[in-house]
Parts: sequence; C-alpha cells; structure tokens
Amino acid sequence: MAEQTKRIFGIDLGTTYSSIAYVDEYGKAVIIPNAENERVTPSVVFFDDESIVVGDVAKESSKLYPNEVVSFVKRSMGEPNFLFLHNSEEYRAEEISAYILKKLAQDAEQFLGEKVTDVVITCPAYFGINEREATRKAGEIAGFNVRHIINEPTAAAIAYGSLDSNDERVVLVYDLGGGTFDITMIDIRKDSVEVICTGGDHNLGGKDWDDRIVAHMVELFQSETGTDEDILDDPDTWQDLQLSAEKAKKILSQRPKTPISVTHGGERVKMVISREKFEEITEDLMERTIDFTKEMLEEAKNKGYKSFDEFILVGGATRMPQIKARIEETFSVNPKVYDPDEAVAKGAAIYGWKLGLNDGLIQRLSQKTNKPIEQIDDISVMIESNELSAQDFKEAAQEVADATGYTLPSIERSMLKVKNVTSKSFGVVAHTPQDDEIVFNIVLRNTTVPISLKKNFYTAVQDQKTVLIRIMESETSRVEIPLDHAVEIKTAVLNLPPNLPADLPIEITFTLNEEGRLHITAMEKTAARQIDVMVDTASVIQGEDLERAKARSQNLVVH
Amino acid sequence: MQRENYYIILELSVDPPENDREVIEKAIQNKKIEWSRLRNHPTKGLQIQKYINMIPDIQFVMQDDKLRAEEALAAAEFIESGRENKISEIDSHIDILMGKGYISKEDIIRLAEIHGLSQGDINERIASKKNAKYVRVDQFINLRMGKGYISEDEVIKIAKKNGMTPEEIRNRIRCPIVKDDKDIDHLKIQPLDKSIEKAITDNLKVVGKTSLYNFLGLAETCELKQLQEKAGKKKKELATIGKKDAVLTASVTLAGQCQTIFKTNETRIAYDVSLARAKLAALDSDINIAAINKKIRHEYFDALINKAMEYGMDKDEASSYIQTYCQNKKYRIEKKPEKKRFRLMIAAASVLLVLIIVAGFMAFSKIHHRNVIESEYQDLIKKVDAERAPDQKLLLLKKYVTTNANSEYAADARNRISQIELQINSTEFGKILQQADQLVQAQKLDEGFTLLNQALEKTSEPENKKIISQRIKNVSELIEKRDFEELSAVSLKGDADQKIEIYKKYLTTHPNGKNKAEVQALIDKMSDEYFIYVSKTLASYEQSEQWEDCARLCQSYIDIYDNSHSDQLKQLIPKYQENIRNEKIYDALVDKVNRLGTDYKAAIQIFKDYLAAYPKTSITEKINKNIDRLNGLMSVQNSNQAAYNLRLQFAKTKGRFVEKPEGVIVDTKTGLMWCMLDSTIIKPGVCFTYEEGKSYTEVLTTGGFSDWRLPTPQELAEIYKTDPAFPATGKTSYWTSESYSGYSDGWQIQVTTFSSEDSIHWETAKKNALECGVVRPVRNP
Repeated sequence: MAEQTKRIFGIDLGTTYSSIAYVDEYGKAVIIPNAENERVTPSVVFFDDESIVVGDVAKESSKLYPNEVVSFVKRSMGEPNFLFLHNSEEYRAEEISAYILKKLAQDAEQFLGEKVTDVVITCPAYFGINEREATRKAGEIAGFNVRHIINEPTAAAIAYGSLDSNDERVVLVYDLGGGTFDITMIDIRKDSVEVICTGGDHNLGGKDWDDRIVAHMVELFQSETGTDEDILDDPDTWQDLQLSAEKAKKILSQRPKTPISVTHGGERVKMVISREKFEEITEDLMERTIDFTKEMLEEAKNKGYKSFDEFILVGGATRMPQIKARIEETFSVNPKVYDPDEAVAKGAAIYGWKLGLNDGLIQRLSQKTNKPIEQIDDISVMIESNELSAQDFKEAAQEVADATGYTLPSIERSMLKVKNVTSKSFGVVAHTPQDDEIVFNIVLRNTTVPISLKKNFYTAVQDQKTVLIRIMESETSRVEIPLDHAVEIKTAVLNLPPNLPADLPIEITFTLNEEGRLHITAMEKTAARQIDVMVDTASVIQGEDLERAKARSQNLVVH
Repeated sequence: MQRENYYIILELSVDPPENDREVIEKAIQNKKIEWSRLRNHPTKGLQIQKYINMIPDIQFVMQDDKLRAEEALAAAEFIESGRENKISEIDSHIDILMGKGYISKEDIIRLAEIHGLSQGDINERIASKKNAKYVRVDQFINLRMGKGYISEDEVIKIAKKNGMTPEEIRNRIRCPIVKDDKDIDHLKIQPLDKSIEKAITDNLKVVGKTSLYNFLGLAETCELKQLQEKAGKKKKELATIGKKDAVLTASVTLAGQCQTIFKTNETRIAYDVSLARAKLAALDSDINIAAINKKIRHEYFDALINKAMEYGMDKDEASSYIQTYCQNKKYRIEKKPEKKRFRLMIAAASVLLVLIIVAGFMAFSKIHHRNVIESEYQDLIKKVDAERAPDQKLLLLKKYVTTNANSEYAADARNRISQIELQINSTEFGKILQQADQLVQAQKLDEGFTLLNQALEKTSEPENKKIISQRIKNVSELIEKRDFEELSAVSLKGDADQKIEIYKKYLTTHPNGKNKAEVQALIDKMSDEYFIYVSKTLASYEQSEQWEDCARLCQSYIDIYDNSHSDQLKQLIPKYQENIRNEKIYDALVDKVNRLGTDYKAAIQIFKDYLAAYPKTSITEKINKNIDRLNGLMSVQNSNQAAYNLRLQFAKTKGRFVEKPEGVIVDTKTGLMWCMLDSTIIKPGVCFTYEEGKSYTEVLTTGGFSDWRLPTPQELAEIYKTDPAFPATGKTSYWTSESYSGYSDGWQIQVTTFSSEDSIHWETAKKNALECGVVRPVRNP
C-alpha cells in the first residue's frame, strides 16, 4: 500500500443493522465481519453498568434489561429532545450512534490489523439538514475523520454502477431499510452518479412491519386469555415481542406461516401467523412506499426524466415477497434485488476509495505544478480549462498507479462525480405586507447541491445590534408556505457592527454543500465587512455537550 | 383540534396548581427521558413522537407565568369534563347490571374498580340514573298538568306506559290529583297571574334561562325547602357583584320572584301549571290557526289530533283537549257529513212493502188447501203417539215437516219436534255436566273447558245456557289460577324468553284475568332484561344467518315495549329484511346453477356476474364458497380430460411407463412410481412456491400412497432425458428436492429446478424458492 493513499472506510449506519466495508488490493469492495464473525451488526447499544456493549449481545440483552438498551436510535438523530439516562449520565442520539460506529471500527481494526481513521458514513437520502449534521457529529464523537456523508441510495447506485462501468442508465433505487424508506432516481454514467430526484420517509421501515406483527400478537393474546391489559406496558414483554416479530417477519418472507408464542404474566399463548394475514395488516405501509414512488416519478418528469431503465431493491426489508410483487404489478417492471444488506456499505467504501485515490492524484499534481493543494479541487474542470496539462495528469495518474498497484484506468476513474439533490426545501421566516409570518423557501427540494444563494436583509432601525434569522425546513415545493407547515431547524444571529444606519442591505449567503449541510455567511455590502454569524442548532449536539461526549467516547472501549 | 393540556401531560398537581419552576423543569426532564425510551414503542410510538415534538412549546408555556396560569385553569376544566364523559360509559355498565333487576354491593365494588372511582361515586350515578328515567315520565306529567289537575285515570295510564307503580307517579306530581274529571269543580286552581308570568318570562330571556328551576340550577322535582334555600343564597350572591348591568338586574328580580313563587306549595303549583300551559301553547296556537271563521273543518280536526299525539297525548286525550279548548274559545268543530243515510232509508221501506204483499198472497193459497191436509196430519199424530222411542217420533215428525213444510200443521209438528228435542236435550245436558265435572276433578281443566264451551254452543235453552256459563266461569278461574301459578314459577327461575312467552300467553288467554295488572307489571319490569336476551339471541341468529328469526325477535320486543331499546331494534329490522331478500336471491341463483349440470364455467359465470353487480352483500361469502367449489369440480373435469390424453401417449412408450394403480405411472426401468398428473394439471394457473410445492406433495394421496416426495434432479433426468421419454407439454420448470440457504440469516433459499423450454431439451437451473414452479411427485416402490 502506498504511503500517500490513506484507506477510507465506508460505513452503513443503519436503523437496525450497520456494517463496514473497504476496498481490497484488487479494487473490490469487501465487507469486514465483526468480532462475532457476522457481516452485519445490530445497531443496538446496551449500557451494562460500566461498559457499553453493541451488537448481537446488546440485542439479546434487550429482553432482560429493556430499560438499559437503546435500539432504533437513528430515528432520533437530530432530535433535540431525545435523552437517554444511564447512571445519572445523559446521552444524546449522536453519542449513542457514535458507540455503534466505534464497535464497527474496533472490530475492523482487529480484523485488518490497521487503524480506522477516515470514513465515509451513509445516511438516508430523505434526512434533513440537522439529521445529516448529527450523523457527521456521531462520526466525530467516535473519533473519526469523517470524509463525507453520502446518501444510502447513492452509495447503493455506486456499488451497482461499479459492476459494469460502461453501461449508462437511469435507475430507481427503492431502499427499504430497517427504519427508513428512500426512493431515488439516479442517472449512472461513466464518470458520474447523478441523483435526479428523491423522496421517502425516515419513519417508515422494516420496524413498522414488525410493529404490526407485535400489535397483532397482542390482540391474539388478549382474545385468547380474555384480558384487556396492554401487555406492551411491560417493557420485558414489549422487547420480547419486538424480537419475535422481527424473526416472524423473516420467516414469513420464506414460508406461508409461522408459529409464535407469547408469554406474559405467567400465561403462554401459542399462535400462528400466516403470510396472508401479515400482508393484510401491513398493506397500508406497502401502499405508502408506492405512493412515495409515484410522487417522486411525477417530480422526475418535471426534470425531464420520463422513464427509467432499471428498478433496484436495496435494504433488508425488500426481501418481503409482497414488495416485489406489488412493484411488478404497479410499475410493470421486474425489480432486481441487489445485495440488499451490503450494497450501501460497499458503495460508501468505493466512494471512499476513490476519494483516497483522488487525494493521491492531487498531491502529485501539486508537486508537479507547484500549486498549493487547496487550489486543486476539481481536476477534470482544471484540465478542461487548461489550468492543468493533460500530460501532468497522465504522469501523476501513472505514478499513483505504480505506487498503489491499482490499474491506470481505475485511477483515472477515481474522479467520479457525485451530484446530489436536497431532499427537503429550506427557507427563512419572513413577514408579508400584512405583517403575517410566513416561510419563504430559498432552496426548493430536489435542487442539485452544492448550491449557494444570496439574499438581502435590511436593517430596520439605526444602530441595530442584531438580526435574527429563523431557518425552516419543509417538504413542499412551493416558495411561500404558512409557518406551521415547516419545522424550525436553526436560528442564526448576525452580530452587527455599531452605528449602522437604518435600511442598510446585508447580504446573506446560504450554502448547501454536497452533503446537504448548511453554511451561512453574511456581509455588510457598503463597507464589504464580514459579519459574525452565530448559528444555534439545538437539534444537533454542539458546544460543551459535544466536547464532553467526545472525551467520554475517547476513553471508552465498546464491546 | 385542541391540544392536550400540559399540566396533565406532565402529571403536575392541578389543584392547587404546581408553580415551582424547579419542580416543573424536573417534570419536563423526566418526561423527556420517559418519552425517549418509549419513542419506538410498537403501538404508542406515534403518540410519543407527538409529545416529543411538543416539548419546545411545553417549555415555553410552562415558563411563562400568565400562560401557565391559563393552562392550570384549562386543566381543572378538563378534569371536570372528563368526569362527564366517563359518566356515559358508567351508565351503560349500570344498565347492563340492572338487567337482572337490581344492583348488588359486589356490582358496585366492581364498577368502582373498573372506572377507578369511589363506591360513593357509583352510588351517586345509580341514583341520578334513576332520575334520568323520570325525565320521560315528567314530560307526560307536565303535559297533563296544563289543565291544573291530573286525574287518577291519567296517573294509572302514565304508570303503565313507563313501567312504574301509580304510587311512584303520584310522588312526582306537583298538582292536585282528582278521582274523576267531575270532581274538579271543588278545586280552586289559581293559575299564576298573567303579568307575573310575563315578567318572569321576560327576565328569564335576559339571563338566558328557560324556567325559574333552570335559573336556580335545580330540578323541577326537587323539594320546596331546597328551592327556598337556593333562592335566598342566589339573592345574597348577586348582591355582592359590583357590575350592574342588564343581566344582573334581571337576575336580582328573578331571585326575588323565586322567593315569592316558592313560598308555599300552592304558589308553586300555580307556577308549575303556568309552565305546563306554556308547553301546550304550541298546540293551542295550531288550533287557533285551524279555526277559520271560528269553525274547524273535520279534516283539520283529525290533523290536530295527530299533532297533539306527537306531544305525547293519546287519541282520546287529544280529542278531549281540543274539544274543550274549542268550547272555551267558542270554536265549532264540523262533523263528518252523512250524505247516504236518507237514500238508504227509502230503499229499506220499499223492500218492506214488497215483502208484505208477497206474504198476503201466500196466506191466501194456504187456506185453499186446508181440508185435504187435516186428515193426513191426524193420521201421522196417531202413528207418532204409538211410537215409543223419542228419536223415531222425531224422525216421523221431521219427515212430515220436510215434505209439508207449507202445511197448516207444520207449525204444530215443529212444536212437537222441539218438545221431544227438549226432552232429549235435558237428558244429554245432565250427562255433559257430569262429564265436565269429572274432567275438572281430574285436573283436566282445558278439556273440561272445551267440553263446556261446545255444550254452550249447542244449547239454546236459556236456563241451561246460564248454568253452563257459570260452570265455564268457574273452570276459567281455575285455569287462570293454575296458569298464574305456573307463570309465577317461571318468573322465578325461567329465562327471559320463557318469561315473556308465558306472560304474553297469560294475557292472551286471560284478557280479564285476576292477575292481569301484576303480569303487566312483570312485563314492564323486564324491559332491560328482555332486551339483553334479545341482543344476545340476535347475535347468535346473525351468526347462523337466521334473518327471519332476527326480524321476528325484534318485532316481538317492539310489540311489547315502547322505549329507547325498541327504537334501537326498529332500526335493525330493515337490515334483516334486506338479508332475507338476499337469501331468496341466493336460493334462486343456486337453483339456476344447478340446472346447468356440469357446465361449471357457465355456473361460475352466473355467480361472478352477480358479484360484479352486487360486490358486497350478506351472501357474498357464500357465493365465493360456491365459486371455489365449482372451480374444484371444474379442475377435476379438466384433469380427467388431461389423464385421458396422457394415457394415449403412455401407450406409445413401448411398455416403459405403465399405469398402476390408477393415476400412478411406474417406470419399469427404475421401478420409481410417478404421479401421472403434475401440479399444473391438478391446479391449473396456481403458482407453487417451493414451500407450497413441498406442502402439496406432503398431503398428496394419489393411488392411495401418502409417501410422495419431490424428485431429485437425477431422477427427473432419468425419465425426461431418455427415449422413450415421459410425455411432457411445453415450457415447464419442476422443483427438485435440492435446496440450500443463500444467506447466513436465513433470508433466502435457492432451489435446483429441472426445466425445459420445449419439452425436448432439459437442464438444471437455480431458482429463488419464492418464484413459481411445477411439482411432479415421485415415490419409491
């Protein structure tokens, strides 16, 4: 391995299962098994007195210590009011997610015998600004250099596209994971992966199918025993049923029926659930995914994409036979189940690997052209504009190939462009002429990122000290919407210099980077003065809390 | 939609309201932790997520002194209204438990436990429930109080209609009760002075109340003392209010009026009478409108009676009320015209005249033949006297009467006949009485009763009739006594339907029975119990689709009772009738299908056409079952045809494949036994996944064997990749016994299939177990 190409790992941080992958010396993406020799690790954290346990053991412990176990924490990412209390210490979702990342990394380090420092982490395409920010923070708390946050369907498409890189096609990625659902249209080309449109729900996933089974079991238990007690009020029973339901769902994906037993309060009831019943009680969930898909296809039409070439199914929950059947029936296509558990982590690893190779190229080019590394960002654009000579590029690529042992074409293809879109609209609170508060959307959903937009604000009074900007996220494509149709995700305070006159324009730049994270800068235009912007995001861990979590995580060994 | 109250969500004290910021902050923090833990609860997760989203607003409201105070106030109101909502649920439970006629101490304890209330609360509810029953009764009473008094007859009527005793009704009446309408003269009913009445009405309008009772917030039936106390208290309260506006002025005046009106029972009655009259004002105004030129046409009179009946009067009462009102107002009620009477009288007189003429003519011709007949008759009498047996005498005389019906002596003959008959009858009469007495003594009361009644019909002798009637009366009293004893026994132990049946039977058999009132009271008391029985039975009838019985049962309740339960049942009847109609349609469909014989396709089409037109009715399920049955029959038909074709092909395999026993093909080369028909023929169009294919094989009993299994790929190759080969038809993909798990967590199973596109070239291939395949079962010899 060459000294200048740092290994970048891909991590699929899922709601129910997580996994880590890397690209081996033959250029192939490989999943790294965990210490228990499993290729996927349950995203479950068990706070066991002084130590923290992640994975299978934690999941099994949920039956015995339901109050000490955290599952499905991904659903609470970016949620300011999520709080887990253990030994009088408070933990937020980002920190608990960090423990899952740590477990994956530790086991990978043990397996490979090398340190995991740089990672690409995936998140659902449908995550908003805060959830993405929170995912990055989770990586930082775990002590990683988070190179990129990449969308799960994009990662799956990269993995899928890498199978046969010459074939250009438009694919629909139907990603039904443990807790989230994304439907994404992606244009895969030779040198780029471009997201056209995305939609979905980060509260819809395999767990919801499990929950329906749980509710059904409770009902059967009640009718069998004649009790009307809500047996789910007992945390032990709840966890027990939750695990049984997940197993039942998997069995029902293979077999027409499955026996289950429910034990509660000394009573044991045996029951049989048929696949027909299962499909009946979950039909509406299935329908929701179909509706999202139809909506997304409508939006894609507005962008000129009226058809697609392939329909691929990603995520463990797509193994349920009704999913494939319903898609066939509705869209008259034959969807392909593509590596449902591993495609996302593998795609993230491939993306990381290409980032690493690109780093090497930039470093060589910097040495050759004597340009500082920061000035060389998009190599292909620089070659087109003759800022870099094709000769220099070829030589640099050859050197990287020699040093790493990878082939020249794969080095050349490392400049893979990934174009993403925002899954939600964001805007600011503004006042109408009637002085009603509304949300004025600055960036509409499904706009390609990165994007920078400038907007002028005017001081209201002389010597105004501050300007408060409330940043709102919403799920519509309209420019003006009522206040209660959006969620406040951040507030930004501009600290103005003294003695400004009234009605002075202040230019505010909103930048959504390629990861879909938001940056805000402000400038007082007359004097071209940069204005200090304080962004407060209560939804994402920051400041003292973040530092404390980092310190706590550093000294911690996850089992 | 109104949001939930934060004091209640945070489980903070409402009375007195918690205001300690630290305590509130701690409560919010605790809730955050609790909700975070429950965030992914399978059934409550969404509700919990809603709470989590509310936290910023909760913090905002609870940190603001003013908003928090408002929140505490709203919480107190909410708790109060929650109690009210709960009441309707408790009431329905009380209704059910009352079905047995009383509520036991254990019932009260159980209700208190279920609803999380004290036993006192439940007792209070039972008491007020009893009061609620009186609302309907009070409506009846009020309506009749309008005239200033209530008669005993009315009391009994109201009691009967509401299943109460007359004494209970009397206790609720707040005006004089008279024995007879004639007794009213001595009553000095002093209605309220009109001007006072108007002043009260006007003031009540200002304060938005309907009556002085309503103003004081007390029931119209409450004690006088209570009214007096409340009126005094109200006056004091009002005096303390500083804001002097119209409402306050009116209120103070009303409080004063209350003290006057509720001073004595007489003044109160006067007010109550005025109040009742006001309720009748609507009807009075209808009568005034109908009285054009002080005359009420007979059609209008009928319409007014209907209107009065809507207010709760019965037909006689309504007629009498309207007539009295009209009399007082000097309105004339037009009678129904009787135009045809005169013409009828003329016609009758004419007929009578004709009859007289005819009779005269007849008399004349009789005299003409007198002499000839006399001697004949004398001869006959001699013969009769000579005869001893009375029936022979009768025979001779009757013969004479028949042949000489118009003879002068026929009357004498008839006279003699009746005398002889009387003689015979009196002997028979004695016998019958004796027989009847014997039956009664042997407790065969019904037979005795029948015998006596038959005798009564035959007897013409008034004296005898009197004797028999007396006997019948005695026997029916005995029967009544016996029936009532039987009824009493059933009323103690019987089921609701048995009781109702026997009560009804009693009332039909003994319409004037001694215990009629008591039996009627028993029926009245059973309204809840019988309703519970009816509801339960309906459920079971519905289960077994006995729609006619359902309708009949509802009707039987409705025939007896007029209450909220009967209203409920009335609404059910149309549904049952609809189902009865559907059943008839179903029978007709089945009949039509049966006539088609073995043309199953056409038969299925008949059912499908019906389902297309009426996709969801009570017979849909039955029709679907029939379709399934016919599909089954059709597939047997198809497989017989396929088997016939296959046998022709096996005959060409030069003895390699032999059918033995029926449906099983023995491969004479390997000895293996194969099912002649594969799953595509037995179940055409059905997709068999691997699991389904295996289950299909496991339950197969073709040829009487139960050890069928899926073949290995090699076994299939042995019969298809050979010459002569097992006959095959087109594209096929057979499941084999080879399968293996594709993933470590058991998500996917792969199976080896043996497939061909053209039934000539065969190969093995891997296939997901969830896809469709064909099964060709095999067994070892």
